[in-house]
Amino acid sequence: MEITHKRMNRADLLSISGRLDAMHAPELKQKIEELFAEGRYRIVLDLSALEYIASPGLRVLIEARKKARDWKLTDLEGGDIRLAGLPDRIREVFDLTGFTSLFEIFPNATEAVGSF
Amino acid sequence: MPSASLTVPAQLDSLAVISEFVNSATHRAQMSEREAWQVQLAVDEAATNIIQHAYADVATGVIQLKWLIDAGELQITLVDNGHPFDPTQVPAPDIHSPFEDRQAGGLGIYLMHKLMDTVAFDFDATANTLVLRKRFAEPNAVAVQRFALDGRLDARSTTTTLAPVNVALAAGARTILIDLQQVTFLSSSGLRALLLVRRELNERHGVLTLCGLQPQVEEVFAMTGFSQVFEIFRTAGDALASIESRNSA
Repeated sequence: MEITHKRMNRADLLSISGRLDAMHAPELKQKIEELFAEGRYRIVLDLSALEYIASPGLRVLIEARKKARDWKLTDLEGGDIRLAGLPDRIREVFDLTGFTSLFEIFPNATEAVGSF
Repeated sequence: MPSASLTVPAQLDSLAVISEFVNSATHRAQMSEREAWQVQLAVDEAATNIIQHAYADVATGVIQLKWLIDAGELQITLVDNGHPFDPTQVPAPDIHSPFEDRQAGGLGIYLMHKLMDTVAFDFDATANTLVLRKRFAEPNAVAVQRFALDGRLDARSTTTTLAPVNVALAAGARTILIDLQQVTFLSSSGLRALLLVRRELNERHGVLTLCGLQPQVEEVFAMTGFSQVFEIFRTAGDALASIESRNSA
């Protein structure tokens, strides 16, 4: 798994490629927590190059979104983890586990960043 | 019955080796890409559970894996000597609960059940045994689909001449034999159409076999180097014998 990080004005963009399984999920968790520690709670995860996801990866996503949403700028604005570019197999896991309705999912990273 | 075994240390960096092992099974079963991915994910989840729960406080455990293919079913067994941990007793997560109430755990086991036909757990004094089973469309049980083409395979008629083959392809055929005995002319368009059939079959781990080439048709294959790409036999009998021996291998 590889994670590349791009800092934008509106949000931080993490592009994740390869396998997000039990072996690699902690790396993503750590990367997201580093951003939280810097006060960056608006994060887009670009999953378009992700080949594989297993439940430890899903767990990182849901826990991260819970933390991000706890951070509030105003009553209406706050942190969030938004997702972009789900490949078919990843989408299938999301559909099986009910994750599709738990996240805001955008067709590509540009739209996801723009949504903040 | 084809089978194989593997023993690995119960550590997360064994997951890649386990994935390779599962890959050898799904490939042998000639599963579709999607079925193969489903088995991969289910076994990955099972192994992760063993590593993180059964061996939670043990650094030196091992997982013994075995796969077995029998009568259109792939069976994968995982055995460990950790704490008894019965994944079939873990309550399923409520996948319809709203985000605020959604729990992060239990998804691996839930996925195993969703992706496989059966998940069975057993344990005795020393070992936990988890058996995952998945049925698959058995390609070897399906008779060879044989097509005797008649006419010309050129720019004008290839589509029509090959139509029955493409109908079979669309219906999921995996083993196709094309008899070219009555084909008097083959052009580059005909060749391209045959290559497309071959590529489609390769993608589903199937096979295209040709036979009965007339000399002028055989020459086109030879000139273009495609004699080596296609499986070509002199007679339909030779072709069927080859398919038969491949299936029983």
